[in-house]
Amino acid sequence: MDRRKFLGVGLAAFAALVAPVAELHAIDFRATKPKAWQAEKSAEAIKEMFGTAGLKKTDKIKFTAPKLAENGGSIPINIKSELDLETIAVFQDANPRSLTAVFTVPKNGIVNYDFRIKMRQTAFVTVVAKARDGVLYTMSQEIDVSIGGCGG
Amino acid sequence: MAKMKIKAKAKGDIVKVKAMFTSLMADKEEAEKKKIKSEYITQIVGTHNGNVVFEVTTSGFMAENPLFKFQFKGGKKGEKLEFTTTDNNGKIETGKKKIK
Amino acid sequence: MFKLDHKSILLGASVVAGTALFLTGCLPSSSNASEIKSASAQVSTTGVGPYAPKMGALDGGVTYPREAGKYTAYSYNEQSTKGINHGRVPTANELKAWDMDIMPDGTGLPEGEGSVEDGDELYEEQCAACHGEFGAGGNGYPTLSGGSQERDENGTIKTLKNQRLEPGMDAPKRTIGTYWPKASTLIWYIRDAMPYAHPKSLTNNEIYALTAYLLAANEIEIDGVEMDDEYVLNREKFLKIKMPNEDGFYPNIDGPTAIEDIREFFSDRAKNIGAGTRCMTDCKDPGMTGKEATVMRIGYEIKDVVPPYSMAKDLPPELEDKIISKAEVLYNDNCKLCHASDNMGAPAVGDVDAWYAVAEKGFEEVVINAIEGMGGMPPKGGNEDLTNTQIKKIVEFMIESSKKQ
Repeated sequence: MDRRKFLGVGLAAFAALVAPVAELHAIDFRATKPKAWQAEKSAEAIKEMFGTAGLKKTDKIKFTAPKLAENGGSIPINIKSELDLETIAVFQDANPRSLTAVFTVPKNGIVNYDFRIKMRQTAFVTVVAKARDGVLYTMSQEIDVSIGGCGG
Repeated sequence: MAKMKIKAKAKGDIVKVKAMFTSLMADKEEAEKKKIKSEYITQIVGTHNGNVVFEVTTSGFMAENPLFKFQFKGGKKGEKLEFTTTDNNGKIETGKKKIK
Repeated sequence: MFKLDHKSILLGASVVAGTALFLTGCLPSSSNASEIKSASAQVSTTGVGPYAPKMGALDGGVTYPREAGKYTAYSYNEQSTKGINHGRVPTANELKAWDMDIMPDGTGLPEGEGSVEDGDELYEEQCAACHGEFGAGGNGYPTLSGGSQERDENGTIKTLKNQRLEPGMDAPKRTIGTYWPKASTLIWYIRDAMPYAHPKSLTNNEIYALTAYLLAANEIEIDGVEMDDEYVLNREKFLKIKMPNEDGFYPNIDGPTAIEDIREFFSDRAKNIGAGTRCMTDCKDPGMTGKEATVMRIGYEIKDVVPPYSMAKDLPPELEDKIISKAEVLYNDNCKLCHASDNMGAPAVGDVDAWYAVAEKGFEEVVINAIEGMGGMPPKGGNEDLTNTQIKKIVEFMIESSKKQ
């Protein structure tokens, strides 16, 4: 019993030691950039998130979204790129606050994310991506949301 | 309550992952309208062999029951993929799945 | 209506009509006993599963070889026509061929087995294109999973009581897990109608696997056992399934006392249906309780539409005389509904990237996909009347006009 207890403690202690190391990679942008999450408009939110540096338009990051969304509650979006990116943030102007999601790309990670967002009205969706060399890329697309569609 | 739904498939060096998490994703305004408690996932972290392979900070403007698809390098069949989600009420949930 | 004095003549006509609908067997008679034997042999060799496709066979029916312009076993019809004006009593074979549903009590449930994991693979290949990953819905096709199964104090599933009183509120969530009372509906529908592009193409083991996967995605427990990836569903386990909302329907319409139950339910309207009096005027407060009826608040004006709705009654602007090709006409009639935008998940005409990806497969391959159906697309876009050449022309048109833009 003692031995088992000892082993149990050992494992727990080990887990406690390992966990923070893994956690170190994870950045909680809600803690580091609290103001960005409160901003109502995209321009403001981008400024809070990435500072005032100039944004570069690019076609090297592919951002796919339906032009007309039948169901505003679930709009599929895909972001794909060959560039070495560090952070990808998604903003929209359809909801009370702008910042929707921030992806942290691990080193040597593949940038190919699919996810779904909610939009209450027709608006622009803007993606801002920070490359590992510090350059900020951006692109945006207007998504038409049909209100009261069958998907609701 | 509900389980995380995770699906990971190794193809050569690349693992393709699909994951769906259960949450109403209701921000303050939406929750007021629906007369429920605000509940949304704020952060999702996916780890493989102790390395973070997927990480996203989210808000209540993601669709209900958020679904993500992504890819990462270096995973093999049979290895484990782990996800941890944290929501705005501080609830932490974890889920695991073997790579197929 | 005219009476059937010349029943035999009409019967002859009904036989001709009937051959188009049911391909029928007869009871044995001395004159064509050997033919009957071969016919009944065909019933049993229709292949694996009740619907294994067979050239020349109609849906669920039996085909007979034709000789001298007659369906051999069908030339003599000995079924009773008593009391029937048009037609006759069906034969045993006909009943067998048409009585194909799977009932909640297990009648018609095939033998077979399939694991959640196999179902997962199949789902990904054949179902996810329309029903979404994990059955989460999308693309305009039904949502199969999701919706909390949490219950209120009366045992009713909460998400079923959602009311969309204002824009932005949730509708009731009716998925397999929250709404469907019986699992037999699921396996029966998969067998008979799915996948949309190739119905009846799944084997019995595959329909069990898919059913298992969908039940697992809805977090259904069978006999207290949680369904994990390795869970294998078979006939025996299937009969033990109790769906979460099985008792959520009223009145009870099953069982020997069903009719009495229904009568009893409707006899006390005030208790079981509502206030008991129908409100015809000024219905804001029908029960005179001083509270506005909830349902009265449904109905809102859609204002925030861009561009705003117009009340102008102008005719649509006249189009210039434009010569459009035959292919474009066919495209407009058969394909445009889905391919005009990317809403349905189909590559939109005009989307260069999407069509580049399609064209990479090779033109021939694309045409074959269009003819045989692919993902959510039914064969030939759902119009069997199109010829292969026409399909080829349409695909050509779609690729070309996507290049132009």
